[in-house]
Amino acid sequence: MSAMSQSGTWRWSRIVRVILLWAWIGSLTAAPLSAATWGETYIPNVPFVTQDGQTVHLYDDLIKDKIVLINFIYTGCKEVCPLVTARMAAVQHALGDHVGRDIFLYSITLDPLHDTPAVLKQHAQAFHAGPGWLFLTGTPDDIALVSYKLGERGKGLTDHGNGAIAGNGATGEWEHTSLFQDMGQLALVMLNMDPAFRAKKGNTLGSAYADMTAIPYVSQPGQALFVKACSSCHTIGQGDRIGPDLAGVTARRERAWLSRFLQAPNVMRAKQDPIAAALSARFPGVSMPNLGLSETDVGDLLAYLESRTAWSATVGAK
Amino acid sequence: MYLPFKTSKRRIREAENARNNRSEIVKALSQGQINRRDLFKWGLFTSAGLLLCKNGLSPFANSAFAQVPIGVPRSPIGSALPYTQLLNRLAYEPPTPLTKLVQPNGEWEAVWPSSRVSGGGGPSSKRLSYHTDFSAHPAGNKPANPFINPITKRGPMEGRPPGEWFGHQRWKEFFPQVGYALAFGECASGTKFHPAWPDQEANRMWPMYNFEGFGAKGHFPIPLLKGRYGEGIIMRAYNNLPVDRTNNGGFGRNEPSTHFHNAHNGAESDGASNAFHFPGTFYDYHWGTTLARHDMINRDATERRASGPDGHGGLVQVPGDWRELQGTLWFHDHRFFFTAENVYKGMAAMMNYYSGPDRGNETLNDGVNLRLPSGSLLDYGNLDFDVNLFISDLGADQDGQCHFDIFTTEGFVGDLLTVNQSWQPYMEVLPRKYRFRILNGSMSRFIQLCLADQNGRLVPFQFIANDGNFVVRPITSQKLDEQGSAERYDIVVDFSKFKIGDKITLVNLLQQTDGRKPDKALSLAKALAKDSPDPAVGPVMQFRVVSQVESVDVPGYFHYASYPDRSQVPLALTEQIPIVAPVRERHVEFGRSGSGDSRDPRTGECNPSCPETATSFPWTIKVNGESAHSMNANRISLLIPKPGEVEHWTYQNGGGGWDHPIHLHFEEGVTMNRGNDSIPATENLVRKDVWRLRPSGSVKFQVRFGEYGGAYVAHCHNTVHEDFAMLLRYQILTDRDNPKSSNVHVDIIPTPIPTPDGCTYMTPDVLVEGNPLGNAVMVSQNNGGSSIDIAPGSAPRSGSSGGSGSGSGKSGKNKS
Repeated sequence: MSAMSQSGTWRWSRIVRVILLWAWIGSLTAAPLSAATWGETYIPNVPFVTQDGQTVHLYDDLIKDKIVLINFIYTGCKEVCPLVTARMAAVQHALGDHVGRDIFLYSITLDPLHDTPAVLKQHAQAFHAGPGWLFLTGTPDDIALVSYKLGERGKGLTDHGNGAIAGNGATGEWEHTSLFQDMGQLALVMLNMDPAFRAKKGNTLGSAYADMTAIPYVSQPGQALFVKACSSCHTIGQGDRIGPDLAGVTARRERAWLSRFLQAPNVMRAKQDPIAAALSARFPGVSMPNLGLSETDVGDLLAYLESRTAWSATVGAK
Repeated sequence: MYLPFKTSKRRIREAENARNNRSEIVKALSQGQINRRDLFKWGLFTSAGLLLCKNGLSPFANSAFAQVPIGVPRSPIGSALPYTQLLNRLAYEPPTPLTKLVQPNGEWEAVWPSSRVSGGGGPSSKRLSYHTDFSAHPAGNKPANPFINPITKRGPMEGRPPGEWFGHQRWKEFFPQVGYALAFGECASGTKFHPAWPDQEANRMWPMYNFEGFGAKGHFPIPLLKGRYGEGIIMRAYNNLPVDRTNNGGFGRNEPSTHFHNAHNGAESDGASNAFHFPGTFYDYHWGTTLARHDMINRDATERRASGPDGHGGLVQVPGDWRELQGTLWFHDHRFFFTAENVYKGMAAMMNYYSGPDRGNETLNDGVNLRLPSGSLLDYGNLDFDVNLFISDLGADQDGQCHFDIFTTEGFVGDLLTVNQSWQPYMEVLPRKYRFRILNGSMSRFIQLCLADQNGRLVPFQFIANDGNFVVRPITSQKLDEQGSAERYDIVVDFSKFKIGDKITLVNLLQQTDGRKPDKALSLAKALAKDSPDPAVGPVMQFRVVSQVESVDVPGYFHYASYPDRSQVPLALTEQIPIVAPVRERHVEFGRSGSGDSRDPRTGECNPSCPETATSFPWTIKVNGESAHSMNANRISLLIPKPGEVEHWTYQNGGGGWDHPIHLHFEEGVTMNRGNDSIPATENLVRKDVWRLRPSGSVKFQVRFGEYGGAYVAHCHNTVHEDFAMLLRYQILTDRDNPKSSNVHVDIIPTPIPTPDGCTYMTPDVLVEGNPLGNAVMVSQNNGGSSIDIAPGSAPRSGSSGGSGSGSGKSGKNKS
């Protein structure tokens, strides 16, 4: 946030050269209209600060010439937001080493007064954010301008959208997309942001693509719920992720407690329930949202967890 | 989306310049031409060192002159004056007769005449997509494959997904006798909304038009088709859009999927099942003109009113419930996430269905024909006195080019209204009765129309149909109800009390300044005075009473004011479908029920945790009192297990700050009530397919499903909201015991995943609450033995070469 440094001046002059080079290239090939419409004249080049305290300029450093997926968050959100961020984590996983190389994920806070870089850092760690996933904050004015321009126009924090926008700074293409759609489809949306990927005939998809998580057919009532509501944060027998591994959870905890916790984890935390508190301590920076599950839902979920645990044990024993 | 009328020129200039100024400063800063100290000196930096949202630097900053928060300049209209151009009639496209070819394997094909387009009529229309042949061909995804996309030489030439899952249901029973070859494409030079406006750039508008080969371009106005019950149709949609998807004029996606709103067709032809297609390909939509309840009511086709015109004064009787005959319909792009942009670009058309009662002939007297105003020169489908009005809004930049805010999630509201792609046109009418079929084709704008005489008095009319469905008795009225996106109102206006030379104005009374909901309706006097910050309030078009008009049905023939008006508006147009006890009730809540920020308003703190007022998903669903559910917009949310079962659905708007026109695909509902709210006569017990929920309002209707199966959707028809997940999928399963209906769609059909090299499928998940069959539902594994990957839930592969293997191993797992 300090005035421009010596090295900064050098960096700018280098950027000017890059711009000139680009202008020269641009004169050879007519830029698509979308780039002119939704490019640097549209995207504000405001300074943002990353979760690591680094100051970056939104357009020049984060968007220009990059393929990006952007969503808006605030860490104080206890409703659906943690699930949204968990879905971003799933995108990061699905895209594998594309993230940080040619695809970048940005979660911009709508609550810059509370979400300092340090707070965002803890949040990022809770969701296992890798190098290509930045959590960004800035001044309230800049946040307001950027969120407006990028389509986040909710009237209050909890009114904000759960969608995301995918874009390519080089071509000026932008499209709204849903983090709650199938991960494979979303990954395809991101890969298709690259004109080279689109142009390549019979493109054999990269390893990241082949590795994407399968969503198996729902053969049990609890399975659909688990896949959509839980699997972004939890595994059954594959280890802790954003939240604890749920293998054997039905044996570990009393059913009544599980039922209460699954239906209203926030209330349990508010009541200083010891197990809930211990979980909060073990997984700092993230708390399980209230997903609005009913008693029936919980029953279905627990039945699924039980049968899945038993199935894992059988397979593991062989 | 605009500054108010009374905005000073200064404020308009400010708004225009603000974005440019800001970006120039940022650029200058980044290029080292100025430094931060300069900005501090100029007072443009905050103490934190960041650019101020200051007047002159941000179009969103408040200015002394700003009267609305969104300061985007109004569309320029240049020297154009109102009523200086004749109304475009929608471009009527005649059908092409198809001939039946029986293949040795027993399959029927519909052959296009070679004269249809220069270079041949194109391949015959078949039950299964050419993608099936493409995938099976040994040449694979290479130019040697005869079924390859002729333009890109990649992927199949037909975009319809391969195999039985997207085979045309009931193909032989509703075999197509006629075809329409339409296209989406760049617009030709001369495409404009008013003669005094500049041409739209080739990729600003992508209108639908009559296909004349891949070299040709599109134009305004958009097409009008005439369908008739008893005559099956193929609508072949060619994608003639630029291959480079960034070549889009700043908005729109070159991958259309055409939804026929709201005809009774199989899901493979409904156009909303994620089966979009790429430039160079076509998609054969099978529109069988099936009359709803074909398998339940009047199965022997003895009811004369359940019929279509035979073209020679007679009728072709069909099975089904004549009370479910449809009239005024339209079709439009339904590409998920891009519907609003694409419809705005002109990717739409209208279609009138003609039937025994609704013949489009005002003189033919056979006891069935209602003889509504239309004309009499043709056996059916006369348009001389039956006029489609496609009303939509637009916003233009300072160069007069259409612009669209691709980032908006609230709804884009243009500041100018057009009729059939012309701005403030006039139409010459005779002093007699006319029928108008008025469609609100806007993305997010609601309208409310009335007619005014030249003394500023309301002109009465008769309301005869809502969303293409007759009301039982015509309703005399002076103002239409509000009309949301995709709603159609048919009215009859009697100009006979006017003198030659009189002028009647069609007026929009409804003020709307953002995409969420209309503000209010103005009085006619205020609307005529344009006393509103909304430039789209006021006159929309003008009718001029004249003594003679040339026929559009038989060009060269003239109608004169002295000719008697033999058209009628009978006292009864149809009969009421009774409301009965339902088999099942469903409750779908759209929008959020949360009350905003749940943190402590004083401290902004959550201690220890904020109370959750609601989950903020875009919609939730309850079935028969089950717990609400909303997770994921992409799943099959509702399952309709058995054709013919009567269901009662309640749509509720969870939010008070919004209005949503909610559209149910495939079937219409009989509107029962609006909760405790009042219900207008034009809706009460009337069949509809789009309902405005009203802020915090609800609507209940009776519906049943039948004849076809597959995945359909229900969604908000604010096409911007539609793109942002206010969309739920429902799956209709066909009846195993009905030998006529599809034996493939008795199971759930996987979701197609289109790529330029071909289409694969993915297994959908099923929401338990919407599934009355519990665990008994299977995903269909019957795709006709074609060599298509069935990759349940796994990554879609560009399986163009008919790739066998990778997915098939996994498919067995699902059954375990």
